[in-house]
Amino acid sequence: MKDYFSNKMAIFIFAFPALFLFTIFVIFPIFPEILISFQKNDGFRNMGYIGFENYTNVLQDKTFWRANYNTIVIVILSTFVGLPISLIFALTMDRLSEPMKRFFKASSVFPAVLSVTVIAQMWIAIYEPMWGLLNTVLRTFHLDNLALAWLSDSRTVVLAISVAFLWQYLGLNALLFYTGIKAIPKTYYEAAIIDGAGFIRTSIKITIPLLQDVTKYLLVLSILGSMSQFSHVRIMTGGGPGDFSRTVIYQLYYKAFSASDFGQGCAIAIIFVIECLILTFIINRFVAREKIEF
Amino acid sequence: MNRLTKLMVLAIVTIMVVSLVACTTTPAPGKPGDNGGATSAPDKPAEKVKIKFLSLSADENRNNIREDYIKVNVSKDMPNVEVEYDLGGGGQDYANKLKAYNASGDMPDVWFSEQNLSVLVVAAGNALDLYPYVKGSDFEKNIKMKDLVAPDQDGKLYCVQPGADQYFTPRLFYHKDIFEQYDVEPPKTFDELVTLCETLKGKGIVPMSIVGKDGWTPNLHMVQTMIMAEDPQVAIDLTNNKTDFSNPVVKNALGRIQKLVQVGAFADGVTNIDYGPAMEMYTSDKAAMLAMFTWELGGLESASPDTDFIPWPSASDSVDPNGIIQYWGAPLSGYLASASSKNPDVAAEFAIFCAVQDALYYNIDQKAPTMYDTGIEIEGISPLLQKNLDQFDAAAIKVPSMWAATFNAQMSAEFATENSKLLTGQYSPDEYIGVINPIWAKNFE
Amino acid sequence: MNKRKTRILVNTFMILIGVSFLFPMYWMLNISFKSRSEVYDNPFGLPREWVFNNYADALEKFNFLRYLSNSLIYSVGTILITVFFGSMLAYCISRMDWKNKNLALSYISMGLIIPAQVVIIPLLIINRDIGLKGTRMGLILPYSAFALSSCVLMLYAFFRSLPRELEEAACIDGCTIYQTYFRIILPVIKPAIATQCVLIFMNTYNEFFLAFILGAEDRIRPLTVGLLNFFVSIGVSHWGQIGAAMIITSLPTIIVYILGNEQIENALTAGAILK
Repeated sequence: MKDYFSNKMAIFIFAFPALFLFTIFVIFPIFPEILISFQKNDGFRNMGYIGFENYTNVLQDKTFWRANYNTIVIVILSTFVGLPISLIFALTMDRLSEPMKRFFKASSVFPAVLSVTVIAQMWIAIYEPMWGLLNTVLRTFHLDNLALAWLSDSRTVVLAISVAFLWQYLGLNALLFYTGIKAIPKTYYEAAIIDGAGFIRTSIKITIPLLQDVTKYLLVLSILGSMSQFSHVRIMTGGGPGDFSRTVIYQLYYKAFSASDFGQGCAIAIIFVIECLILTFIINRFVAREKIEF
Repeated sequence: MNRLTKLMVLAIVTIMVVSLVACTTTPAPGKPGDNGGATSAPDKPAEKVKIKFLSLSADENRNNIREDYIKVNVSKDMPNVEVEYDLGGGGQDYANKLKAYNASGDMPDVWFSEQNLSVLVVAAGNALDLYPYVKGSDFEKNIKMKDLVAPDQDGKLYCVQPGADQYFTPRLFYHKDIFEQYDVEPPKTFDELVTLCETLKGKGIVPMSIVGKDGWTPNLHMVQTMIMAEDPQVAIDLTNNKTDFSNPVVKNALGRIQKLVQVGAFADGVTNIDYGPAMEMYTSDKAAMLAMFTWELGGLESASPDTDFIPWPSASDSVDPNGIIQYWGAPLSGYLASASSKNPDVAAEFAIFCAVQDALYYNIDQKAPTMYDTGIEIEGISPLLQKNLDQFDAAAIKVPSMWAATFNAQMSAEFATENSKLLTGQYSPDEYIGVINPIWAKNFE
Repeated sequence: MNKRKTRILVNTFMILIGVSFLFPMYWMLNISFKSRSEVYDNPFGLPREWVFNNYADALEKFNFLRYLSNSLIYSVGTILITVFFGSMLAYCISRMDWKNKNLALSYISMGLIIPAQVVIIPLLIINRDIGLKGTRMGLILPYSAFALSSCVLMLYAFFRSLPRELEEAACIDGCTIYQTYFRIILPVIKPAIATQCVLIFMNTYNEFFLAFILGAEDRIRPLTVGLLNFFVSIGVSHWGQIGAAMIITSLPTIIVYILGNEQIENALTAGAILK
C-alpha cells in the first residue's frame, strides 16, 4: 500500500503534464516580460536596454494613475456594492415560494452565460443619451437635468461601466451564495426558530457567519475579476472619452498595441502583478481569518 | 523522492531556458537577395505562382475593388498567378493583424496599408523596394503626380498607389431642405458657423454630425482644418516639422473645436458615436450638417438628394476657404509587397496590378479621378461631383493630411486620446498641448 | 408595520433585479424584428413594423457557423485538457506521498493572481516561436493553463475528503494505480468535475481578451470577437441585423442553459459545498 502512494513513476506522470503546461503559459511568460520591460521595444525590435526608464515613464504617466484609480473604483464597487446585493438577493431568494425560487434561480445566471459583447451592447443602448432607456425614463419623470451622456461624460463613465459589469455577475454570485445557504444544515436554525428570531436576525447571527467560505471564495473571485477588467471597457467606450475610463489592463493594451510601445506595456504588466500580489496579501492578512490557500 | 523532484525541476528549467533564448532573440529579417532562383523562369507553364494577398474587408470600397476588379482581372492580366485572399477586417483589428504578422516577420506577399501602419513595416525591414520594378514601367509613365512614383532619400519606393486619395478632401455637408426649413444660410466664417450651430441647436436638431469615437473626425481632419482656417502655413510647417503644437494658431484651432462642443454643435455623447451611426444621423435627417471627406460624396448624394456642401469656413479675413485645401493621400498609403516574398518579381508586379485596379474602380464605379491615367473618360458625373472637382482644382494651396502623412504610431494614438478628451468640452487646449507636445517632439525620431 | 414596509421594499427591489436579468432576452428579440432606423425612434417598445428578414440578412453577412464551431472547439478543448490534467495533478497532490507536494500546490495557486491579460505580450511571442500562431491550439493551451489553478484547487479539496479505503480496496483487487484512478476515483468526484466543466465552459465560451489578440485571423476567431466585428464593420448601424446576430450567437448558450439548467445548478451547488 505504501508503494501505491509513493510510486515515483506514477507521481511524475500525474503531476508533470499540468505543471508543464502551467509553467509554459502562465509562469514562464513573466520572464520575457521582465526582460522586455527593460527594453525599448516596439513589438518588432529590441532597440536596446534602457534600465528603469519604462518604469519611471509609466509611474510618471498621469494616465496610468487614472487607470489605477478607475480600477480601484471598480474593485470597491464590486466588493462593497455588488457582493452585498448578491448576498441579500440570495437570502431573500431562500424565503420565496418554490415556483418563484425556481424562476429566480433560472434567471439569475442568465446574464453571466450571455456573451460580454451582447451585455455591453445592451448597456450602450440603455445609456444612449438621446433615445436610451435610462434617459427616456429620467425624462418621463421630468428629471432632464439628470439625463446625462453617461458614457461620454468623464464624471459618470466609470460608474456606468461598473454598473453594467456588476449587474452581469450579480445573479451568478447570488446563486453561489444561495447554494452556500442551502448547504447549511437545518439544525442550526432550530434554536433560532424557538427563540422567535426574525429573518434579519437569523441572517446576521446564523446564515452570514456560516457562509464564510463561500464569501471568501467570492471575494477573491470578484476582486481579482474586477482588477483585470478589460472587455466591458473595450466594447462600451474603448477607454474613452479620451483616457477617462481606462483600466490598468486597458492602459497596458493601449501602450503595447495602439502606441506600439511594448516596453512600457510590459512594465505596466509587471507593476500590475505586483499590485495583485499586494492585494492578495491584504486579503490574506486582514479579511480572511484563516489563510486562503495561495 | 529527491531524484523525482530534481528531475522535474531540471525539466522545467531546461524548457524555460530554451524558450527564453528562443523568445528573446529578434527574428532574422527576411533575406533580401534571395531571388536568383525565382527569376530564372521555369519552363513548365502549368506551374502557377502563389501570392498571398491581405486586404481590408470592412470597407465597401476595398471590398468592391477586390471582388469586382482584382479577382476578375487577375486571371486575364496575370494568368500565371494564383491569389490566396486573406480578409483582414478593418480598423484596429486590421492594424493588430498586420502588426502581428510584422512582428513575426511572416508577411503576406502583397497587402494594402495606410501610412502609419506601412511605416512600421518599412522600419522592420519587411517591405520590398518597388523602385526597380516601377522605374521605366508603364505605371510610372501613367502617373500624373510624379511624387507618387519618385524614390525617397534612400532611393527606395515601398508603396504603389493609384493616386485616388489625393483628390479626397474634408467638406462640410448640409441638408438644403433643413436649412430652408429653418431659414438659415450656409456659414462663410467660423463665427457664422458658431451662430448657425446655436440657432439649429435651439430648434432641437443636431447641428453637425461627426464621428466622435476615438476622436475620429478631429484626428483625420478637424484639428488641421481649424488650423488652416486661420493660417494654412502652420499646417504646412507642422507636416514638415518646422513648428510644434505650442504654436498659438494651434491653440486657437483647438479652442475653436472646444467652442463648437460648448455651443452644442455636436450630438450628446459624441465621443461614443462611431462612423456608421454618424453617417446614419445625417442621412436620416437628424443632423443638419456632416463633417466628412469627399469619399462619401457619391453615397451621401444618393442617400440624401438634398445634400450640398461648402468648404470649411475660415477664421481669418486673410484666408480664402476656396483657395486652400487639405488632401488625404500619403506616400505610404497603398499596396506594399513583402521583402521576404518567395517570388518578389511576381509580388511587385501584383502590387502594381492592384494599384491599377484601384484606379479603374474609382474612374468607372465612383466616377472619381485618380492620379493614375487609366485612359478612361469619366462621364455622366453629377453636378455636385463636378462642383467638388472644380473647387478642388481651383484651390491654389494643397496641404497633405498630418494624420495620414506625418504621424507615427504613438503620435496617432495620443492625438486620438487628446481629441476624444477635447470633445468632452471639459478639457482645455492648454492641457491638450501640454500632453501632446512632448510626444510630437519624438514623432520624427 | 415598519418591518412590513421594508419587506415590501426589499421584495420589490429583488423582483426588479430578478426581472432585469431577463431583460437582455427581451431586448435582443425585440430589436431583431425592427427595421434599420426604427431602433433610434423606438428603441425599447414593441416593433411598429415587424421585419423578419433581419435574420436571413445577418446570417448571410455573418459567418455564424465558423465562429460557433471555433467557440465550441475552444470550450470543449479547454475543458478536456484542464479537467484531465488538472484532476491528475490534484489527485497526485492530495493523495500521494511526495516531498514537495505543498510547494507544487502553492506554485499552481499562483495562477489565481496572474491574470491572463498581463502576459499577453509574451504569449504572442511564445505562440509564434513554438509554431502555434494562427492555430486553435494557440488559444486552447493558454486557456487550459490559466484554468488549471482553480480547477486543481477545487478538486484538491474534493480528493482530500475521500477515505483512503477506496484505494486500499482497489489495491487488494489488484488494480494498478492508473486503473484505480480512472475507474474508481474519478467516478466518485463526478459532481465536482461537472462543476468545473460548467465553470470552464462559461469562462471560455465568453472569453474575449486573449481571443481578441491571439485570434488575429478571422478563420480562428470565436463568437465573442466575431460578433464585435459584426457590430463595428458589417452591421454598422443596422440595429435590426445586430439584434438578429446577437440572438443567433446567444442561441447555443440559451439552449444549453435551458436543457441543463438543473444540472448546472446542482453542479454549482456541489462546488459551493466543497470547502
